[in-house]
Amino acid sequence: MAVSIQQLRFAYPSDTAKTVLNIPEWSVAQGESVFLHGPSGTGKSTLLNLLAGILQCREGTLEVLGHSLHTMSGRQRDRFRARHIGFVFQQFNLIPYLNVLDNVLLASYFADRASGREDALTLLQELQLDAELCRKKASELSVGQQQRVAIARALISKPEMLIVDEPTSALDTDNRDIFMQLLLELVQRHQMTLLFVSHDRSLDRGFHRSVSLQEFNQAAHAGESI
Amino acid sequence: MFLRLAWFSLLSRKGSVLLTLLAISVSIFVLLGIEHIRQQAKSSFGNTVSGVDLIVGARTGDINLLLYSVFRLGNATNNISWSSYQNIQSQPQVAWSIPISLGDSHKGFRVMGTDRGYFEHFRYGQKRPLTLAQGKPFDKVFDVVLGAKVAEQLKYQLGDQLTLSHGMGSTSFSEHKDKPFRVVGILEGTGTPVDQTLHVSLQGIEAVHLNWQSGPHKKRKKAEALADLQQLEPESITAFMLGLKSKMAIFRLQRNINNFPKEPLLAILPGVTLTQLWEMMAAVEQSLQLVSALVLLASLLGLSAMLLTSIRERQREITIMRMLGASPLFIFILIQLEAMLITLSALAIALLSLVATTMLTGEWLAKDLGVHLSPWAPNASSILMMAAILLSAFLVSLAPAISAYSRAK
Repeated sequence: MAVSIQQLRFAYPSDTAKTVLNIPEWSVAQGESVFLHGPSGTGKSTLLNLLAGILQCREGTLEVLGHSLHTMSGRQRDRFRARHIGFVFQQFNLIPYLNVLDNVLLASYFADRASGREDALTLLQELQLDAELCRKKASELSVGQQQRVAIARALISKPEMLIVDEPTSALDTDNRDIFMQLLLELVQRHQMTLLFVSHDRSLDRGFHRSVSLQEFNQAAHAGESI
Repeated sequence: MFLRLAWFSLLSRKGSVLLTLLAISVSIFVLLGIEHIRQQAKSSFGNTVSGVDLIVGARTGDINLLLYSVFRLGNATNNISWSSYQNIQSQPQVAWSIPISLGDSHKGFRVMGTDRGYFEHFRYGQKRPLTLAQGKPFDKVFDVVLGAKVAEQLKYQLGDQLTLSHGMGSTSFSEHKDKPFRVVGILEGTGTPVDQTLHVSLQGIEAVHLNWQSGPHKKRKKAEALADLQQLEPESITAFMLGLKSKMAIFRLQRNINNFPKEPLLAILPGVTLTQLWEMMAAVEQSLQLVSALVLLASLLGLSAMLLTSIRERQREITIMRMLGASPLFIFILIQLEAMLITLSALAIALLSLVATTMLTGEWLAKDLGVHLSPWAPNASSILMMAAILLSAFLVSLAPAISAYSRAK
């Protein structure tokens, strides 16, 4: 199993009374690509932060790629995230003052992997980003280019799972299609597990499974009923 | 990667970083510069006289006696009779003595009457004797030996003639024009008040004063005296320096001189009085240090404020790094590293300008102000100071670093 959740309850320390997530059981198989949707405010980002080990799960069990995140220390979770999870956000994925290549290499630095410049350049080429572009500062790129660099960075440390959070919301239709096509191709080629979050359900073509968070998060139901 | 990240991050905020860098450079420059000048002043101060066991003058304050006998500052309140000098000089503990007779000047430089023992026994710095750059010590009554600065500034050469004036001031009306002196020697520079002094024999001082002041009725005495000037014996001198055969005798002789029955005398230990004098200036020195330390603190707080403001703009960046697997500690160290990079660059800029400034202005200072400022070089205290600067930079940068750390949590 890539993800296995049991009896997970989560509330932010700042507001312990409000349970954001209450998931009796949920799982994602290894190599599966899952399209996760649901309106905003239902805890999608919280779930992603838990899966990535940014937030700590204090109640229930949370296993990702065979690691029990609920028992790991902060430092262990940081290392786990660096080595096993690739991340792509909505927008502003890159450190603006570093050039494209350094942005990609930064990820392999944290993952402690021996991926060098050559690996990074090859990967960037696969994403249709040429060598000249790689020397540019991230802030000089178009949004579409930035999102592709973000994929390259997510893949450089060869993670087993890719978490992608609303990556196309800032893209126009053409760029969005290019992005989705590249992403799904790469995920398939590298046989990664993909967790793709979006509220735009028109994107769910090509995924193994499309699921709404509300289907398995009972806290969201509770929240709505009040 | 750490360094690269910190470096490019700073580059991306060139404007505010550069201003902060300059502010810190200037304040480090001031702090280390003042420390350098202080040490130089202190050592050149302590170097003005050495190897002299006692300085004796008419009864006055310790510091006053030191000021006029060694620094040629101020005036003696009273003279010492020649017989007292001879009495003390002939005490069994005394190894050598240097008489000093002050009161005349030449174009603003003081004239000191003494004897040849001065060239033999006077020491400055680390017990260094006086050496002649040219010529020889005075021999005849109207011979004069110039300090290095006097010769340089007034462009005198061996064999030149000059006249003395009574009292101080470069345009004294009472010049001893009828008794010109001839330059027979020029001393090597010492960096002490010796450089600004003209040295003549005691007989020379007496000779120029023979017919002066008293008018024509003394002409007879003058005529007699001129017949055999070498035999002139001064009635009084201003002060004298003593070297003793044994250091053990210093305090006993000092007590004896202070209780001298024939006239009220004062004997001081130059080292002790130099320290007292320096301590009088300690308040000024310490307030200068305090001010420069506060200026540095202000500029470091500016650094802290600049970084703290940047943290707010860098929330996104912190999130990205966290997602890539950076620990909160990494973020903390990154901010501290940026602070250190700025402080170290500021330190480098300050040191370079300090070395350059002291090298370039050293000559000018020595020429125009008679202050010897050697080029800046690191020593134990300045290295300690630099360590303190880095530590303070670290401490004030804790605020932005902790802020970033807690945002990363």
